[in-house]
Amino acid sequence: MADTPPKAAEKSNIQAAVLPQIDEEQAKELAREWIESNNLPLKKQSYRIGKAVMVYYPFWEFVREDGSKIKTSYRPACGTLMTDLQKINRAVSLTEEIPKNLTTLPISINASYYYPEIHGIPRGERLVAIPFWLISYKINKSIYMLKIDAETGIALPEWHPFRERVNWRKIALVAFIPLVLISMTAILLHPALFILDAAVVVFLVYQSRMFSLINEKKEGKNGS
Amino acid sequence: MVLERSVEDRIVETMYPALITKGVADKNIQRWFSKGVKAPDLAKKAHITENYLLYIPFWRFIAQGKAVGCGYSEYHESTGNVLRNVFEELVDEEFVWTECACDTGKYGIHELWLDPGGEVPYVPGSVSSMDAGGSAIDASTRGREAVHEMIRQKMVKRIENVTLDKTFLIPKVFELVYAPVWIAHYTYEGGHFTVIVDGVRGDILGGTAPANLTARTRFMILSFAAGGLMIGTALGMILHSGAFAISELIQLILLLMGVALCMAAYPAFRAGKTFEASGTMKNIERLRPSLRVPKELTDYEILTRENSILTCPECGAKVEQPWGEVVTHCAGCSKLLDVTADEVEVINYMTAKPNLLSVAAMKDKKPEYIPFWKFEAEISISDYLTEGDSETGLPSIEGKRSYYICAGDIPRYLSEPWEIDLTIRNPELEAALDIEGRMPVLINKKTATELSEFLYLRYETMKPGILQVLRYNFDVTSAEIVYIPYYKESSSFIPGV
Repeated sequence: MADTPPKAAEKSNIQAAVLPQIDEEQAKELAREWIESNNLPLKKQSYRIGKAVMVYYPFWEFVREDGSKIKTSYRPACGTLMTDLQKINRAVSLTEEIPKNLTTLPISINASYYYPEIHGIPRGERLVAIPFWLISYKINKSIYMLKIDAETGIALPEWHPFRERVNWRKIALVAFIPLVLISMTAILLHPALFILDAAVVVFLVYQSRMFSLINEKKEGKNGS
Repeated sequence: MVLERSVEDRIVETMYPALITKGVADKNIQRWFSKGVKAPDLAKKAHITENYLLYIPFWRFIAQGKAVGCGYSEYHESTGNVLRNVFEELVDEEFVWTECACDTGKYGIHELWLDPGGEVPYVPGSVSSMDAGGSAIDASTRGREAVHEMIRQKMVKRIENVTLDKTFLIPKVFELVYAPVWIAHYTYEGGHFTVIVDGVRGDILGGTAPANLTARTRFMILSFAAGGLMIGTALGMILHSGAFAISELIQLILLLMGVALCMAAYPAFRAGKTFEASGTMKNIERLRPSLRVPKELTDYEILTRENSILTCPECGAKVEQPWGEVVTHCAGCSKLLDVTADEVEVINYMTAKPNLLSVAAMKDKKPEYIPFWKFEAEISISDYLTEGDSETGLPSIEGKRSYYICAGDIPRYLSEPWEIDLTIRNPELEAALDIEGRMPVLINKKTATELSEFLYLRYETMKPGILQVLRYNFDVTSAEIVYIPYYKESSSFIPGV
């Protein structure tokens, strides 16, 4: 392979960091609050908070003069698939007192990558570390994840299940019981009753809303 | 290029340039929203919160797979006759294995979807990329095993009963390839979803989306109606005192089928909260944090560190190995060295002098010296069976003899006939004085040893009749490199020995 340029991780050092204001217990409590306040399909005590890991994400901090304003923007310095990390905001300025043993995820993006999208007259840029609590939680045998900003306590959810406006058990019973009964009767009395089976299926499929199988108010106008 | 020295350092890194812009990715996502069994108002109500380009690393191992497989398949006729078809398969194709080199967690991207071609060198830091994790050596081992399996699968496609099965491979490229994707996160009525768009072709690679509730409800109704019909009919027949045309066993099967349909349909339609596109998002229900806690040594450092300083066993000089060459001359003592990931071995070599006949025939022409591995090997056959005509005019190459494998940068379709020719003839070689301009050696000893065994097997399959059983011992006693003169004439080569 041709000679590679100096590695981004070696060239740059973290110059400032956000000091975490939230400890593990608080983070878990915030996660609990978020889970309970959102539209998640929960039964009583049916979720469990799992591990919480604090991770420092490296970010590029760009300070730009835009007219009379000084704007500060942050962009991730490592590739990530996590949601809501591409354009984060910080109200409080970061400390240059870097915590001991601070380790960040490997830095794999140079600052120059973001130059085309950062507007204004350059007034500075540096590499900063921002901590997040990554908390796993379990709902109905599946594990999901939630990020909590370790400074502000804001919850940044990843993909999660949500409560649906359908009672699946009711649907199953409404379709199942009549068909079993009619089919049995058709065998025991007269096969012509199977026609009734077909009629019931057609009726259920087209008139499903009549049985409140779907909450029509929330489903939307066209419903399909 | 052949890569044999393993690759913890100086891994080849390439990337596919992104050909799709953000606008095009957005447009494709909007189009995807309105396709399939998704919420009907998704295109209207979905709010894309982020859409960014990200390069995902993949290990890629390309190898020329070679295999010989023999066996038979049997067909039983209704009359009781057994028809046996015997097969002799020879595989000689390129195989590509890829594996995602980072943790994509819920996104479930496992394999590269792009074919080789069109890549450009990857410059670290110049694009937004995921960090490649894991060991390159481990990945290379997994790649080898997977390619062996692919070759075997290809070989035994037609053969039911395999009686001989040998696979070999010539590694061509092992590299880290970065593929661009547009990652779009969006929200819809309180839910968070993601779509992944191929950054080269613009296809949707995968995504989650809220499913169409009405459609799912109707599928659930239909499934339970069908299940209820089966169960009701079966119960009715079981309870009825009269005789039915169908047996009790079928009635019972009908009952069980109805129960099974209901049991399968309920979780399937109830849990289908999201629409899943093919290829990715397979693990969405087993979501785990896509997190790699930093170690003392980052994966990037593992990939690029100088972890294997190899020295010449003769003079102790550091071995500088250019890419693609696996056998190289020592800068200190000029010995020929076979360099692998763990060790350096001195290889004897000689240069063969062109014979008088070729010198006279190719007057004023300079030969090219092409490197060949020359193995002194002995083959002893313990079991041999062929079907059909076994009379052959081809000479036997078993017993003790020298096997030649071309190690230079010559296409295999050209060099394989030379190898057979030299192995059959076993020419007397006269050592020449040292010459200039030798061709680099691209195949190392291990691969060449395997190829010499393949040469023997291939030769056996060339004989008339269909090979069925061949059990043998292949013992290599010594190996050396021989530079054999060949005269180039337009597109062909004429041997000088």
